[in-house]
Amino acid sequence: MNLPRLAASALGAVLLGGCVPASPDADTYDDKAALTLGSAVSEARTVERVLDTLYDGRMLRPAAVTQLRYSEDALDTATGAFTELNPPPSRDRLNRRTTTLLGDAGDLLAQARIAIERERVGDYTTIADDLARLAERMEKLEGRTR
Amino acid sequence: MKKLFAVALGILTAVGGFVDIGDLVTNATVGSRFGMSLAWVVVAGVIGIVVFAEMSGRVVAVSGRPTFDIVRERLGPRVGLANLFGSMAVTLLTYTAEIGGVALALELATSVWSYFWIPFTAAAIWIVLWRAKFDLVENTFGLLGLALVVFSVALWHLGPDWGDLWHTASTAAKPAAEPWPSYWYYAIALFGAAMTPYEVFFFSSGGVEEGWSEKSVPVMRSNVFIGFPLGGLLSLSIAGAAAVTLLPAGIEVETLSQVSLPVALALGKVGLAVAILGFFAATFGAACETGLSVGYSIAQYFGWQWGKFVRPRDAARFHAVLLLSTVTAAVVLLTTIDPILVTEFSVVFSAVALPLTYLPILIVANDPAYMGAHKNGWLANTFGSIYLVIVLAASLAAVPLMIWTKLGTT
Amino acid sequence: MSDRIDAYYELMDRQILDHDGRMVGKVDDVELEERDDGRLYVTALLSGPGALGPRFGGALGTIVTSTWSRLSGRTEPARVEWSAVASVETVIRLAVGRTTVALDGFETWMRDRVIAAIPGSKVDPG
Repeated sequence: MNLPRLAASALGAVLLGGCVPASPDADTYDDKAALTLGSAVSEARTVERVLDTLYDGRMLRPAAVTQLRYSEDALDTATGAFTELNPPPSRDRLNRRTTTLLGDAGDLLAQARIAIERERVGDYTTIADDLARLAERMEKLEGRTR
Repeated sequence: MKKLFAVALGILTAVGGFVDIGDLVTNATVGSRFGMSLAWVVVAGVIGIVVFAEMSGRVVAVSGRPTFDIVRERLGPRVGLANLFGSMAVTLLTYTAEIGGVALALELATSVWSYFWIPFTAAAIWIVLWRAKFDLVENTFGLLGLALVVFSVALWHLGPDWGDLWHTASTAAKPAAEPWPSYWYYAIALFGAAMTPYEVFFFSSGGVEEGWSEKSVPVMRSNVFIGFPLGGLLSLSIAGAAAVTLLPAGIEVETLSQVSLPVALALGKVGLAVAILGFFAATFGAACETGLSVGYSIAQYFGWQWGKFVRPRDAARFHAVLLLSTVTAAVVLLTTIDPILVTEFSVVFSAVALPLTYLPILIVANDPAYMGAHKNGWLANTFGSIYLVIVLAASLAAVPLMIWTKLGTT
Repeated sequence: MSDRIDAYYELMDRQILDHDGRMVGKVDDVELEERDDGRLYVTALLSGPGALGPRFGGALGTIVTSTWSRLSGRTEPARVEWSAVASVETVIRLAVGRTTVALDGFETWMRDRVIAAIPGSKVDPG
């Protein structure tokens, strides 16, 4: 096997390794769902902490705004990658539940962003509590799916 | 008294200058996902860098020749060129990551997009490389980098269960949720972050910039033996703070602001501000070091005049390389690639490049023609040889693990 | 300086410094001459891509040499007469200044065309 071909196949292996087929089997789908939920939990709890520390006067606004931007973006990307997958028939319920939770998370992060932007300090703890509860539910589903 | 001041300054600068963007990101990520179960890697990495920095410092102090200068003589022009290529590519990648890190720190401080800061950061760094005095740069950013001690303070303030932390660290108790391939991938990444190749080029070339001689060896050793391990403690503090506050919450560090979150939780606004200052100083200082290292390695291979100890017009090719590297790094970052992703690549490829860097040092440090009576004793050679094996193993495993775990995401 | 010299071990790839201690280039190759007594004498040090290219060999060497040749307009690599060498240590010290040996066409070009244009290029570092 000559060098150019070897390089091309190595590259192919790398690229394909990063791809999940659009219609994965049940196990792969479960893994993907668990991973996506894990990421969502991470973003939800991060924003929850940001809101709490902002409320307590322990956070700098530019840092909060920056983190919100990244968290929303990351959640968006993860949600998009997940919803693009075709669930296997046995996983329809998982698909619905996960998609709902991810959607709720997206909504809450958007609310957090707006509240911070408008400096509606009164809303911080409410949204933070909502995020805490949502994170718990997502974590439970993640645990059951793993 | 003046001597004592110089020694203290050297140690403090070494501590503050130890942490760069790779250490910041990797230690925080590891703390948030693996707790203290990879602490042993930081210890191993610190010992490794201490062994090789001392060797390369001794080489330049005694022979007046920095490492890359001698690589070609000992390995020949062809192998030397391959070595140059590999080392330079990794250093340029690290330079890019550091500039990105500065932009991220500025973004954190202002909430203005990091991409906006890139041209200004690159220009500022280049101007410093063009005009500022070498030891002024080193001392300023080294001392300002001590702001990162805020992580140790935060960890203390959080009042963690020290026994539990110690237990996790000493038994390397990996959390059940994380798979073993990811564990080993991050072990290599952490190792690469601690033992960055550019550190050795910079340290030995800096010896010429600062005019070291045989008499400088004791001070050099105090910087390395005291300063670097203390710097390692900063790395462990960053990991520890993340382990205590983020791991239980299932928060995985992926941004610089998440790296600083534990400090905000523990110490509030003031602590956070100090942490951001520390981020800026550490990354700006490291950017200067890596930028210069790209120039040092090329100039020293070809025999061109290099250094900030001469006028820029007397080291034209060297400065042209610095300018070109800076522009290249800025252009890469302006493609809106995530600077954190660049950092992750830079630490993994640092691990890949380590054997290239360390083998020549070990060879030269044993050469009586350069070292005379100061050549390696049995202690340095024992450690050096053991580390060469470790470094080779890490280098071979790095890319396969990176692909298998998809940069640690599975 | 000793009479016999191991050109490969003691000269090749060494840094050349001029009499001010400035870095001038590397010993990229050595010019040898066989004399009547059958022995080889070092007559000059060769430096620059013109000398380094051939040592790479293969395709890389050809590319380096031909590119250099085209850009510099020369076919013979830059050389330093052996008589200009003052001492051979871990570096090669010359008895003359770098302007005399004129090894660094590329450096001069870069200095005059690029670096000199940037303000502050003449500022002393001290």
